[in-house]
Amino acid sequence: MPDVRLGPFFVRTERAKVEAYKRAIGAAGQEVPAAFPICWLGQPEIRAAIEGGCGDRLPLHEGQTFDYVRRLEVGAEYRLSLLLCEEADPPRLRLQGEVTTATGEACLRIETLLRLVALPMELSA
Amino acid sequence: MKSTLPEVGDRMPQLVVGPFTSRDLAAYAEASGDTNPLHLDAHLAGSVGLAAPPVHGMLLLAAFEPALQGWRRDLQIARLSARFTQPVLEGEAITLSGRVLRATDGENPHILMRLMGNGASRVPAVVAEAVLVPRQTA
Repeated sequence: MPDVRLGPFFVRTERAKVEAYKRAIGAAGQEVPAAFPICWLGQPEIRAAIEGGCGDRLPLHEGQTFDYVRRLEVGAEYRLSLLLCEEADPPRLRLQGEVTTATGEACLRIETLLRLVALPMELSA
Repeated sequence: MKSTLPEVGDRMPQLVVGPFTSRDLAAYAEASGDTNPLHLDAHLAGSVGLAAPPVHGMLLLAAFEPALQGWRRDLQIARLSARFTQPVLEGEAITLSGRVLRATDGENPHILMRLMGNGASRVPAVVAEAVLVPRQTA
């Protein structure tokens, strides 16, 4: 699969979603957790692109990085641009993302590494 | 108040998180949007040789942030990076620990920490590093 550029997507730090995420990870406080941007990968159009890259293989999360220039604020809108790269040996998907403010100021870089594992025969049909 | 950085070798207190229940995994899946069925379906997990669904790696990694804040509220994460090396299964807990590898004062003060998440039988499940900087107040 050739490298695929995706986005930019409009992504948000909606208060209700940030609070639900904090409850799920056991965090308190008023800030957006550093790992919250992982939630944006679950957005339908982004998830569809990732699932397309996985094909009939099962993605296993192998590595993750968040590299901040500025912290995110609750209740703000950002732009997320993604580069989706497939690696052959071992089979992996590497997602590299850049998050900026609505006015283009850099906020953080994200890298997600997914190992792709063949499904057992009875589950891959 | 000016933040005084920890010193090389200082350790975050160990923290046991979990054991993670199927309800915890479902709540995380709902909140994060990571609905990969491997984390929620015991049959699927069994088909790839796991005795129970694995806890989301990101749920394990995310647990470090409250642990770090409990240790040093005056610092915040500028970088968080991890490898998920072994699965932690539903019903298991993880022990979080951290040690300062580097402390840099001056114009851009920060510390680099090695973070470990050890699962059952003390096997490292998450090997991570974090860069922490003095908390910026609005």
